[in-house]
Amino acid sequence: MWGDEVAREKYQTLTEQMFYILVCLTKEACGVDIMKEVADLTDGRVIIGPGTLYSLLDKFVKEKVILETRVESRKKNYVITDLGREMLEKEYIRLAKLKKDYEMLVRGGE
Amino acid sequence: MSDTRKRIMFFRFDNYEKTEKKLEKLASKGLFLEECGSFLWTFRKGKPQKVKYTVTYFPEGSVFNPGITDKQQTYFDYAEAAGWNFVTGFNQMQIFTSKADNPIPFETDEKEKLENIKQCMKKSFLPYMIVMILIFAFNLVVHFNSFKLNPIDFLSDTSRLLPVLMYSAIILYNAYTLIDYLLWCRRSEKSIAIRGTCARRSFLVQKIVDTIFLCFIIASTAYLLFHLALKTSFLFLFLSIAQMPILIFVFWSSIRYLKKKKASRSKNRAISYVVLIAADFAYVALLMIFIMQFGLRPSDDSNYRTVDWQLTKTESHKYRLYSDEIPLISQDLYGPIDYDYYSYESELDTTIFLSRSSYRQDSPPAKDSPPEIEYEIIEPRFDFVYSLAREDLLEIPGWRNNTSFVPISNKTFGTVEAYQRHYGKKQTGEYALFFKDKIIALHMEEALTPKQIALVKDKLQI
Repeated sequence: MWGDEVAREKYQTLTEQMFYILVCLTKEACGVDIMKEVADLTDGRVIIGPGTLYSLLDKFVKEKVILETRVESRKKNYVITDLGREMLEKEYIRLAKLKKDYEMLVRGGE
Repeated sequence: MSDTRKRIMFFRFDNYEKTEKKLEKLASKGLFLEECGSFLWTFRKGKPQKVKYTVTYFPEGSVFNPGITDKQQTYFDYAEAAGWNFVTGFNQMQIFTSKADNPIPFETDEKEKLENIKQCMKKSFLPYMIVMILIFAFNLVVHFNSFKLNPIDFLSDTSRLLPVLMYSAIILYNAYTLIDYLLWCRRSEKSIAIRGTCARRSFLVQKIVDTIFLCFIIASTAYLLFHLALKTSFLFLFLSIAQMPILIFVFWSSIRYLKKKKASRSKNRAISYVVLIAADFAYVALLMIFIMQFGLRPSDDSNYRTVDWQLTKTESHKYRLYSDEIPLISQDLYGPIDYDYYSYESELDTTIFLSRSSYRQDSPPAKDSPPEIEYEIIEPRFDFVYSLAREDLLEIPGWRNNTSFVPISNKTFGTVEAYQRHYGKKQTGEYALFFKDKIIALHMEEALTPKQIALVKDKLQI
């Protein structure tokens, strides 16, 4: 449980790359798929380099944000955990709040 | 004809940018990296091409790994999917190449990148640097002790002074590298905190430091070898120089052999280090045996003859009788001596601190051996060397309580300070003479008569 707290503490906000990796892993996927999918999803706006992808997945597994499911002909597959979902949800709420504040304070003020 | 070429690469493990630039430059000249090592890198010759290289660090990478680990393979697979092909690695350092014009950057999150670099550097680069600094610092301490024991011997010996200078340079260089890396980490952290990238390094400063360091090491090694070549035998010289390369070769052979045998990383590391330490001890023992057998002086020094000296009825020993020119001989002081086994030795040492000439006329041990004399002339170049030499010369160990240096008139030798050693009340033939810019120590068998003093002054040009 202590590890969960550390992860929550650490990822109070997610980087775009972390966000999209977790979004992709709401369905089981392997690293190479994630890289391609994120690029497709964002029309190439968000690119994840292989080194960064490896570090992030490694860290997410260690912090139990994602889970290694199975190894299929050398490909490691991962899926998000409850803790990961919780973090995504939190990030969504945070972004939604940002959006709302912007609309109210900036757009609404026009 | 071989289409590969070995090159000496003077690279810094933590400076990935510089290595990348260098590899790209070599590729544009038609040399493509095949394999890297701690020193010698292998390149394949081909058509000059514009290729990108990226140098990254993988925490699990190690020269002791029997092969590519599963995790490493996953890492390579990700890289390949992004258009980066693995070329070679050394410890944590991994090198990839891409022919694409604008390949996906290998690292897209600067914070992760820095964290990863820091983690990897802790595994081999930092311990290696610290161990190097400690080893050379330990060497300095050993030398400092030998300096304290006999400062004048030390300061007049180039073959001890120069290594001290080299060790200091190595310590400074390693400390510089270490500090440079730590400062880079701090600058990168600051930059990343405001959403910047990892800090860039100035290649120019590093190039200047590297060049100065390299020139210094090469020049001082060459000087040291030249100096030693005059004083020691070539075989000994060869054995001393060959030590490092031979030990490195043994270490790497052990690593390679165990890799072939698929030994695990920890096993390979443990065995290879034991082999290295054992080989080091064996080598030093070999050197010691060599010194004991053949001595350090060159064997082709023709300025001596060897006599087989009967010590007792059953025991004999070989003595070397030298015939160097020395300014003052026993015959000058005591008149003609009919004796065939005198050895005349002179030795001149010059360093930046002082020049010292030592002279000795002695004979193999015998009951009625003729008078022997020994004297040295020290010319210090600095005041502190003068006072060190003075202290050294006048020092009497605490346990000798019946002997002392008694001042004598400065008029006798024309000195600024002069002493004669006494045993109890008896005057001896040992003198410590201090002049304005030189010091002379005389070791005669008996106190000198005024006539002999005049002769000494004449011969030694006092």
